[in-house]
Amino acid sequence: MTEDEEDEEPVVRSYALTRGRVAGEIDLTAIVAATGIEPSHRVNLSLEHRRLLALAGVARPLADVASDSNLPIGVVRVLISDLVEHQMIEIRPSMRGVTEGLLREVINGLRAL
Amino acid sequence: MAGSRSIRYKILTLLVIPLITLVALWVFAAAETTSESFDLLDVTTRYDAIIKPADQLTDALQQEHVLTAEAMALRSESSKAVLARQRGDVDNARDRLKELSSTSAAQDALTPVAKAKYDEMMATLTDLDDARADADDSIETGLIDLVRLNEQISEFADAEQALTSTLTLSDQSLNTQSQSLTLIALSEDYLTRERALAAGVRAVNRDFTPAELQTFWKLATTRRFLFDRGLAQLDPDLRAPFQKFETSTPYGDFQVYETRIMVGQVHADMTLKAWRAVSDQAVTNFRGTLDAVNKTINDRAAPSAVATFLRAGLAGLLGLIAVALSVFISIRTGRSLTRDLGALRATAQDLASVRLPRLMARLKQGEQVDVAAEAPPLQPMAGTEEVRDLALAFNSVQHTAVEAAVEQAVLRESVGGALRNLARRSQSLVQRQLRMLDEMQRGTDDPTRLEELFRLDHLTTRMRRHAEGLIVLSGGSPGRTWRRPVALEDVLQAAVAEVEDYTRVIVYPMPDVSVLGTVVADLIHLFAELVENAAVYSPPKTEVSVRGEIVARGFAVEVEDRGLGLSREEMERVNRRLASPPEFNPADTDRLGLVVAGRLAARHGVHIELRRSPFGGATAIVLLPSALLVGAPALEVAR
Repeated sequence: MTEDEEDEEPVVRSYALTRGRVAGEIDLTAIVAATGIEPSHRVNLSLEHRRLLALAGVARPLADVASDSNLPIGVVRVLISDLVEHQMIEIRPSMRGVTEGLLREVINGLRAL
Repeated sequence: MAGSRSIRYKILTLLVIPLITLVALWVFAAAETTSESFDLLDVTTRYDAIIKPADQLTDALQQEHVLTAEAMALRSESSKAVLARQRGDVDNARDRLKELSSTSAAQDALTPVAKAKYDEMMATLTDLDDARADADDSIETGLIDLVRLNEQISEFADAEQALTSTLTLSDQSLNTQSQSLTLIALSEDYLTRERALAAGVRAVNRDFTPAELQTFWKLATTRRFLFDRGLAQLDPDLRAPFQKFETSTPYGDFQVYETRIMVGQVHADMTLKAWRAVSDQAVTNFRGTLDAVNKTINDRAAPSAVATFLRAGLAGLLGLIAVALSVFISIRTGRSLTRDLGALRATAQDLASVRLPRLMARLKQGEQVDVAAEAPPLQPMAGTEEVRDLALAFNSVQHTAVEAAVEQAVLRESVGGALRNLARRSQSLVQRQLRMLDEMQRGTDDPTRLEELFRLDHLTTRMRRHAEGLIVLSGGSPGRTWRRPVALEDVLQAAVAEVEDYTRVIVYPMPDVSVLGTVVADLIHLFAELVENAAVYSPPKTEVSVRGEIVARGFAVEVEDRGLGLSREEMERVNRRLASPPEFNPADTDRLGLVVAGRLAARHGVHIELRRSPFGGATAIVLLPSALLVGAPALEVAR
C-alpha cells in the first residue's frame, strides 16, 4: 500500500462496513487463519469481508491483518467475528504460552525424521 | 383565433366593394352617354325604314287624291286609266312601307308611344281600300262627294303627322326645327288637298257647293295657319327658303286662285287645266323647298351626331382609364400593406418561436450572450407608418424580454453561486469532522465508545450528503475525487452509508468492476439519492436490495424496494424528471433528491429509469456507460 492511498479518505465509512455493530474482545495477538471452507450461497459477504479473508489466507496475528487492511481495529474485529461465525476463519490462541524446551523438542524431532 | 379571417382577405373585401361600385357607376355613366348615340342610330333607322317610305306614300296618295277627284268628275276612260296607274304606284309605295317598317330593327327603334301612332297609321291603309271602293262607286253612279273623299284619303297623311310629332330628337334645338318642319310638311299636304278638291269641282266647270266651299275654307285656313306656325319656330337660316317660296310667283298665283275660290269669284277662266297648272307648280316648289330644308337639317344633325359619338367614346374611355387606375392603385396599396404585415408577422413569429427560446436555452446553460447580436432589432420596414411603429414596438418588447432573461440568468447564477459557496464551506467543515472521527475510531478499543462514534459518523456523513446535494443543485460538483479507480461495490456501499435507514439496505455481491476515481463522488451521491428514495417509500423493516450485473453497454445496477410502488402516471412523471431534470426551483421541493440524481446522471451519461418491481414496489435501474468503468474483463467474456 502506498502512502498516497493511506492519505486518501476511505470510500466506505467504517460504520457502514459493520452495519453499526461493535464486537467483543478478540486478542490482538490471536492468530487468525482461513479455514478454506466455502461459504454457503446464502451467506452475503461484503467486499471487505472477502478482503480480510484474503489477508488471513496465511495464519497470522489479528494485529497484522488489521494493519494491512487499513481499517480501525474495532471494525476488523466485527468483520472477523462475522467470518468466524460462518466458519470461514478460525482463531487460534496466541503463541505466548510456548516454552523454549518445547521448541527444542520439536526441532530435535524434526531433525530425527 | 377561431373563425377569424386573414388581413389579406379583409383588405380585399375593403377594396372590392368600392371597386365594384366604381365599375357599376362607370357602366351606368357610359350607358347614359352612349344611349344618346343609340338614339341617333334609332333616328337613322326610323327615317330610312318608316318616315322616308311613308313620305313617298303620302306623295303618291296626294297624286291619287287629285286624280281620283278628276276621274269622279270627268268619268272618262282616260281619266280612269290614269287613276288606275296611279293606284298601282300607291300600292307599290304602300307595299314598300309595309315591308321596310315591319322589320324588327325598325320596330325596336320606336318608343311605345310612337309604336301606337305607327299602328294607327298602318290601320288607315286598310281604310284606303274602302275609300277606293267608294270612289269607284261614285265614278259609276256619278254621285260625287269630294268632301268625303278628302277626309278618306287624308287619313294617312294626318296619321303620319301624328307619328312624326312623337319622334323627338335628343338635341333640343334640332328637335324644334324638325317639329316645325313637320307642321310645314302638313301644310303642304293641305295644299294638295285644296288642289284635289278644287280640281274635282273645276273639272266640270261647276260652282262649289256650300259644303265643298266650307271644306275648302277649312283647308285653306289650316294650311296657312300651319305654314305660319311652322315658319315662326324655324331659325332664320331655315326660314329663308320658305320666305323665298312665299314670295315666289307660283305661290302668289296659287294664293290668288285660292282667295278667289274662297270669296266665290270662280269664273270660267279658272279651268281645270289652269288650276292644275298653278297648284301643281306651287306643290312642286313647296315640295322642293321642303326637301332642301330637310337636307339642311340633316346636314346640321350630322356634326352633332359625330360630336355625340365622340363624347360618348371619350367619356367611356376616360371612365375606363379612371377605373383601371383605381383598380391598379388599390391592388398595389393592398398588396404592399399585406406584404408589410406578412413580413412583420413572419419576423415576430420567428422571434417568438425560434430566436427567443433559443436565447433562453443558451442563457440557462450559462452561456455568455451578446444581447445585441442574439436579438437583432427587426428591420423597420419602409412601408406603412403603423407597421413600422409595430416593428419598433416589437423591438422594444424583444429587447426587454432578452434583458429580463439575461438578468434572470445572472440572478440565478449569483444565487447559485452564493448557495454553492455556503455549501462548500459546510462540506469542508464536515469533511474535517469526518477525518477527526476516523482518527478517533482508530484510536479507541472500547466497543461502547466506538458505537457512539459510529452514530456520530453516520450523522456527519448525512450532513455531508446534504451539503453536496446543495452544491449539485446550485450547479456545482461535490469535488471529492480519488486518484485510483474504486470498486463499484465500495461505491454502492458508500452510497448506502449516506442513507438514514442504511441497515435495511443490502448490497449483494456483484462482478468485480471499478469506476473512475473522478466520478466516484458523483456516483455515490447519485446512488445515495436512489437508495434513500427507495428506503423512504417502503415500509420499515423491509429490505432494499442493490444488485449489479454486467450488460452489453456497461454495468446495470438495480435498486429495488418492497414498497407500494407508484401509479403509472407518477412513474411516468418521475421518469420524465429523471430524464430531463428541471431547472432548480426553490419552490418545488418534491422529490428533490431525484432532481439531484437526474442532474448527476445527465452529467455522466448515466441512464436511470424507474419500473415496477415484481414485489409491487419500485425498481430503479441505473445503466452506467462503459466509459465510466475500469477493468471490466467480464464484459469481454460476456460477449
